Amino acid sequence: MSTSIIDGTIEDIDVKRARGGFVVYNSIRFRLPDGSPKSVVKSVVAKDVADELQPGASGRFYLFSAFDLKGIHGFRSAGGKSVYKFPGNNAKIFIFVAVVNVLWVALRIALDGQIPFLGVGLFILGVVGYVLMSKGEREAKQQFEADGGYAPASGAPVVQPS
Amino acid sequence: MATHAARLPLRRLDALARPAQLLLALQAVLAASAAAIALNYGAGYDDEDGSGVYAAVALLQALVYVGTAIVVLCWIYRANDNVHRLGAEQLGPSPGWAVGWYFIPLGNLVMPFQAMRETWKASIDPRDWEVVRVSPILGFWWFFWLASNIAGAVALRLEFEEEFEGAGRIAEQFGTASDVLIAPASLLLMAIIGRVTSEQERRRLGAIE
Repeated sequence: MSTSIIDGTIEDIDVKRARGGFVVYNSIRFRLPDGSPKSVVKSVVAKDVADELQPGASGRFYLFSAFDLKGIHGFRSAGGKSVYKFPGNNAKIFIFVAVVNVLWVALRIALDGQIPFLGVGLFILGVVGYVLMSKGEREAKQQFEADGGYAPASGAPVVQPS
Repeated sequence: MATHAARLPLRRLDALARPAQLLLALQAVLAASAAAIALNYGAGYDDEDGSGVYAAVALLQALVYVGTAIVVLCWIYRANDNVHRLGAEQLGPSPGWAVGWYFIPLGNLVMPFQAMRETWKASIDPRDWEVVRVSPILGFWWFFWLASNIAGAVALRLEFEEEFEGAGRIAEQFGTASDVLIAPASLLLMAIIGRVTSEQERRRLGAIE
């Protein structure tokens, strides 16, 4: 799990699909204050945040990476607008997988004394996935809240003119 | 881009890369030898009264496999740690998890490959690593690695199968297939280790910023 920040301006976005309150991007290309490009690929963004991610949007972008999920969970615009929403409910899916499989393993042991290896594997994966995803969501929220005092330098453009 | 962590110096990677490559080469040679002996002997090579040479090579193979795993996992940890030190952001698995995922059932089908791919990309361009194209050898390595492991797992399961007559012979065939597949996987991983080490060492020694 990691979080990071990009200060810059969105130059280009390539949406893969938008469905169920989430937008999946093939890529989002930023221009950084020093003029260099920076791309984020295959990222998932909640719709509330995605609404703000348009070419020309400038400010501070908050990114996360948890398990196999990457995305943007927050944005503070140069104009002072602030939006946060962590995408996905994967933590709940993982805990569901863990609970179902521990029940399955228990049932098989009780009924025929066999240990189903697939059930054990899915239980371990569910627990690990739940721990990583819930930790990721927690750290993303902490990162965004801890940076509440962010304000772009007054009068200075976020991106240097080329 | 804002970076909150102070940059740490890169850790030396070539000192681990050399023994890792040597052990991988040895593993490939032993696997190829085991497969050749098995094919030459024919059915029953793995029986109690089967090929003594095969049994000796298989034992050596197991010892080398354990040693290779330890050294390669140390290399993976350090290589992944270095790309974090280079300032690459948005990386998936941490150095610990780049190793740990090999031991998580089902997760080990995908996540170690993701970690290796990210390490490769971020070694080449840590700043904008997500758009770096990866060499097809990563995909080939992972294909051979998974295929070898699946064949090995099937062989192991069949070896203890008592209800199904003829399971022992089929187990031998899967065992040989596993040996045939692990050889290219080892050679491809040698190449991957070489390329990533070369990129990171050039940065560590200041040849590239």
